[in-house]
Amino acid sequence: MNTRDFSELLKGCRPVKDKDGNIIVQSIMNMQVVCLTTDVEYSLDNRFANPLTSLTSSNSSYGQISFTNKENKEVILPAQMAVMTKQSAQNHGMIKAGYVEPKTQTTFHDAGCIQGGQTGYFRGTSEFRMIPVTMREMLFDSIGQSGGYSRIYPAIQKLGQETGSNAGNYLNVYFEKYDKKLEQFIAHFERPKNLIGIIVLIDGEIVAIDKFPSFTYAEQVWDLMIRDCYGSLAIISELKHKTSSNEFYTTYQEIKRNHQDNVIDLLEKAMKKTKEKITSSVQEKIQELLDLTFDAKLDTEGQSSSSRAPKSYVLKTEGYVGQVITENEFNHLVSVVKRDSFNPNALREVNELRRKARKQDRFTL
Amino acid sequence: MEKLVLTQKMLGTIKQTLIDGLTIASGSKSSATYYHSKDDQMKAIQTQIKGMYKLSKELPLIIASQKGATGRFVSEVLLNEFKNTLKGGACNIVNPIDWYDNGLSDKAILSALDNLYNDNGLPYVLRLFVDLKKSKVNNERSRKIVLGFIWGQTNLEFYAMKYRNKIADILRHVYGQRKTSILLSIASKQIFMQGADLIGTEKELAILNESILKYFNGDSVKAFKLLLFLFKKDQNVNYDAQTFPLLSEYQKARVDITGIKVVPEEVLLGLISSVKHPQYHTMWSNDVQREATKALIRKNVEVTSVNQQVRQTKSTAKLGVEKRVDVEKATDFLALYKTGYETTFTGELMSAIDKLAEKKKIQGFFYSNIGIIVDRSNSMIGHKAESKNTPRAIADFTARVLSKSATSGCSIEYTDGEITDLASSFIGLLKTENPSKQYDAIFVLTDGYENAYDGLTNEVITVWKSETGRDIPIFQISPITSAEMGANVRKIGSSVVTMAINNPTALQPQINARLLEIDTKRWLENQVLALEASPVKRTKKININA
Repeated sequence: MNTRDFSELLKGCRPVKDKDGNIIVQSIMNMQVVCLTTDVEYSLDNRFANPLTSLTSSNSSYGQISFTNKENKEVILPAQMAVMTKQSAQNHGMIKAGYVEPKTQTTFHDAGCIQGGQTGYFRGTSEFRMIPVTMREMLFDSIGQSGGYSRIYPAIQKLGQETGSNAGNYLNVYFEKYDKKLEQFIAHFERPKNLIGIIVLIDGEIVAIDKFPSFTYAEQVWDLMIRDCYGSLAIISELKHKTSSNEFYTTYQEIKRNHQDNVIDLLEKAMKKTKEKITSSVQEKIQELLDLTFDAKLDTEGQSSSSRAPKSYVLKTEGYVGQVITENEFNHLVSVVKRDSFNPNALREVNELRRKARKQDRFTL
Repeated sequence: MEKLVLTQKMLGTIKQTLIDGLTIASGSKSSATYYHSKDDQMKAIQTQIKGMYKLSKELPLIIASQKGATGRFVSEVLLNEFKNTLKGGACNIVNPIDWYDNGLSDKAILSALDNLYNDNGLPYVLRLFVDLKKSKVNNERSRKIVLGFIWGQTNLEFYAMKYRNKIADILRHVYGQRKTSILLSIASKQIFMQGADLIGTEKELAILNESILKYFNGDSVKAFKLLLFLFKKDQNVNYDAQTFPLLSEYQKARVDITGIKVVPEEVLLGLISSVKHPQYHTMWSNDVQREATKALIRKNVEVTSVNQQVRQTKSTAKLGVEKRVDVEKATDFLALYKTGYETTFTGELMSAIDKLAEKKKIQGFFYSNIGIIVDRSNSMIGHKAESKNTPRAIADFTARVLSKSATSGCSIEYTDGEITDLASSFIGLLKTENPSKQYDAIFVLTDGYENAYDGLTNEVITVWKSETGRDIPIFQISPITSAEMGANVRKIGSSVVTMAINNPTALQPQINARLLEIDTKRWLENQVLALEASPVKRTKKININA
């Protein structure tokens, strides 16, 4: 089994920062988004086609999806795309990301149904959505497992409970209930230029990381990622009545106690300090992940067998699970989520011990 | 006018609806925003209008008659009014005697229609009339208003040429298929008659009078020729250059488009692109010919409005045509800004924008020394396909107009970076304030999608107000309304007053509208009195009661 270090997975990437060097953190309620960028040479803009417009999908049995690539360019499927069609057919979802060669058809037999009792196969549709991020862990875990067409149902049931949408085995029920809210959610986040990846935090803990093949690709999938994928986190936060932290107000009061400046200067200092605090908190969380090492297991189902095609690996470590599509050590797409049950404090303790161990001098006399 | 019938109980509900209504009316656009499709936006506007109508039928029309109401809002209000017929809905504000019997209903509709025509132009009015057809609305009132409007146009010859099919379509709907045939038949007989008097049976003359002549202010033969032209039954009609300076040119263009100057560009393109045109094979049958012909037409035509010429800047350059455009005559700030964003803001363009802002400055503006924050984040660019650059053009121009309107001083702060960090700009603005000449109002031009963290600006404003004890008005002006907010403005916090505008013209009425919070009833009375005094008529010839 291979291993992959977290720092290696996101190599070449860096957080988008403001002119003062602070990481730009976009927030809503208890959710934060940090955008990643890279140097232009690492954004393979001309190599891959748009996954949302260059593919059509069909199936001929439950639990499988075939993607036909119309373009003369390769396509990388974003992690866990769903086909939600108006055709009289059973909606299906992918449990992973994938790769489709130019002008070919690729079939993934480890897909799953996402619409309970609905019957029928879909034909030539491009009605794609993304599976909510809170389902990701269970779906990544089912890669390489025998689960049949119903493999996604448990994750939909979990989403239904967490979002109070009573979705059962029907992902469309969740979307129908929250579509309007999710649209509004898109509005809160702005895609910076030259976006290559996204880190999402909930309550100050990193819960999802995505790295895309190019700036163009990131632009193409941005709306769907924010609305369909990460939107579920905001829905859950809202249901839990989570709010922003009023960081500025608290910081202002602290600064006021220690400074005699006029109000404007105090406001300016408090703003600077607030941004620094947010930056250092996020930086700290990213720093913690740098020590992670994932076990990487080759995933072959549906992926190209050509020796020159990018390879897919399932990534697992304590607390995190994900996937990387990689080629000659260049990581095109990375998708990692925190395990729901994982308490990062446990990792912190382990890391702290490791750091101490590294600092200790070798035993000598 | 009788007293308003508005009850105290209704007042509370109407007050909030009015405030929301004015916000929606001046900010609502059918075009997509960065986040919402055109359909979402339209549905949100329609739902709001239906809600207002249900509350009191006069409410949407009163709001649609306000200066600065958007074309889309006014169109939807009128469409809703026509759909519901004269007797539909209930008057809960104005006394029904005034509304129905004293012609206030008519005046309200015509004021709104006037608003639509003057502020947005004929295409908006025609689109409304086409929507009547789509919605299968053809009651007596709508019919008379449509006919009065079309036949009452002083520039009907030009409009007939430019919007021929659309106007014919509207008239066919209003008259009905059978009556249209009868009218065309009588008209074609009349134009070949000698002498000034109309000749025909009593019934024929009655039809002509009822359908055309009582609305048309001019020679009846001219009206008949225009009718035949509109319906393409004018094969044997002669348009003398004296009476029909434009249609006579149009007739020439049917054979030869070179050298034609007073026929609109799109009309000439329509003619030459038909395979039946004698010059089609030499001027339009391949890409090279097409480009050359387009360039020739662009160069020759002299009736293109300055605003359109400005909008055509990029395509004119692409066609390789050098055409001098007097940008200072342009009145459409969107055209000027969009040209700037797409090409570059030349000195000439900036000077034209500046002069236009000077012309549009708000007279008697309440505030003399103001601070302005302009949101420059990505979402202000607008929707990629349908309304690109519109929000930022509105914000930029509004900032300029505001700065001209404030008599003693103005500071402008632009947000920095790609995300919406209004809070830092707010502090930046305060830093530039002259302590001896403090701001008496602050305007924040933003779509309201704050994400440095949501609520941060509100926190900063609240702290500043409580620490300094200053309580100046802080207005959040949004160039868009959001579908998810029910076509209303997305508010950045409780510390600001929101308003939506699509044009700085709407600014002063919006600020005035805040006054209605103090005395809603008085405000409504004033609006109704203004409607009553408005000089609008269904036709220029006579007044008709329907």
